[in-house]
Amino acid sequence: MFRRYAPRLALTLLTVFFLDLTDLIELHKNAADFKLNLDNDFSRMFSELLFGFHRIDTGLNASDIAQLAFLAAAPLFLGQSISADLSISGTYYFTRQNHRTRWYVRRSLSLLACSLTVSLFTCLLNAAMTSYFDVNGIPAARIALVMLSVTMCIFVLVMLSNIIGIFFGSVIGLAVTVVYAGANILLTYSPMRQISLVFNSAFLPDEGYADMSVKLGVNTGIAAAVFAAGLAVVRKRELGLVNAEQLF
Amino acid sequence: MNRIDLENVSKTIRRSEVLKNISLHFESGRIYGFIGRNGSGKTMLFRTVAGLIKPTAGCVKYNGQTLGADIDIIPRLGLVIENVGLYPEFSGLVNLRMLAKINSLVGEQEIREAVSRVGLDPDDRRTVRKYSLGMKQRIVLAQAIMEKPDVLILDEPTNALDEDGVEQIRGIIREERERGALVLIASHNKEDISSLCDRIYLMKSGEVTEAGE
Repeated sequence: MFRRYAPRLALTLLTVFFLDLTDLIELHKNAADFKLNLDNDFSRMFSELLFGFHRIDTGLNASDIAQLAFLAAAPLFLGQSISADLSISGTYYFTRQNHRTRWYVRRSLSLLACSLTVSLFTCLLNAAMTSYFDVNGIPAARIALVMLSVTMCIFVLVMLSNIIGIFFGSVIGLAVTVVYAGANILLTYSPMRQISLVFNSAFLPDEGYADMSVKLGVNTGIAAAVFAAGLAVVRKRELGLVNAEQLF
Repeated sequence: MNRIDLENVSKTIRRSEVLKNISLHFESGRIYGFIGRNGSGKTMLFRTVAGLIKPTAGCVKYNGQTLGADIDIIPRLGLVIENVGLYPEFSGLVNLRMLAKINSLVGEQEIREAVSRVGLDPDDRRTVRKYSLGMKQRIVLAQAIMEKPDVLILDEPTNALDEDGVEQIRGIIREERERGALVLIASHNKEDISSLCDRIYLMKSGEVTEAGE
């Protein structure tokens, strides 16, 4: 099943690569400034590379839009996999076998593997870019923590898009997911930033390992809740009644 | 001998009663036809019999076992339902292979035979997305018959087919009956119904209003 998602995963990775490329160009243009500001703060540089260059004092800026594009990439290409399977081919699948739980778990695991691949690719790409600029090494523990958090965050967004897509179609599913991610990015710079659930708020420079672990825990909890909600929806869904794609 | 019994089946969707207190029984080796205008409830009835949706009241029994309670689906069911399809990014043969793998009842040879039987080339590597409407209808029928099902539920099986295609599909349906399958057909094509069916039901506003041999 993971192989079935390979083309969509490749498109996601390509999008992430081009988004990172824009970061690299930005770095080249302002290399002296970045060296000056970030040379002794490799973790911050890594975070900035991963999530875009933020100016905390000005709130939303172009880098946030780049980050939103990064967050939207996986739901855009992978956010219809379960919902489309259920509404298109679920009918012929489930008239042969009614193990919906097993079917859903297998697809969710495939999407988790895809999320992990996107996260791994992003982190390795950014680690390579950081070393290219000759800053100090990044602790492996920090990279692992970042990678797991990014994985959970992407997984939540992809699953959310799928579950909403089951009811309202893939366009609405993606739209709601992007709005959710955008709202969380905005919250990152507000006084209420602790309730921002996307990963970027976990990696602001003044936050340490403990905060990152808490964020990872919260995101894992949310992923588990979204997974459980999806399971309930898939098990109770009446098939062939309405094709959600035809509603819009 | 396989048997399907519908006992006082009703279905309400968004406060609209789409099936009203339907009681019918079907036996294997026979073809049952349903005619009626659009929205009369034929497709909804078929989806209920297939176990895709649950009746609001009443029950569907297969060989005495209640769907949704004793069993979830009719074992060995072949289904053609309008508006649902196969994976558009794969060829027809690959789609059928994926579905056949679920129960492993048939091998490559039987799958290719089913594709040939409906008039398609098993070696055609085009994806389903590039199929014409008629080809899509044929490949969906191939998935329904490839595992030699005990029950065949066909909703508008001759839609989008040319004259030769219609005749070919009618031949297949007759062969399935001879094999002993229980066949339910809904069609707008009165000739389909009159030439194929052993018993005909007329549906109107969610009710079975007439029946004839």
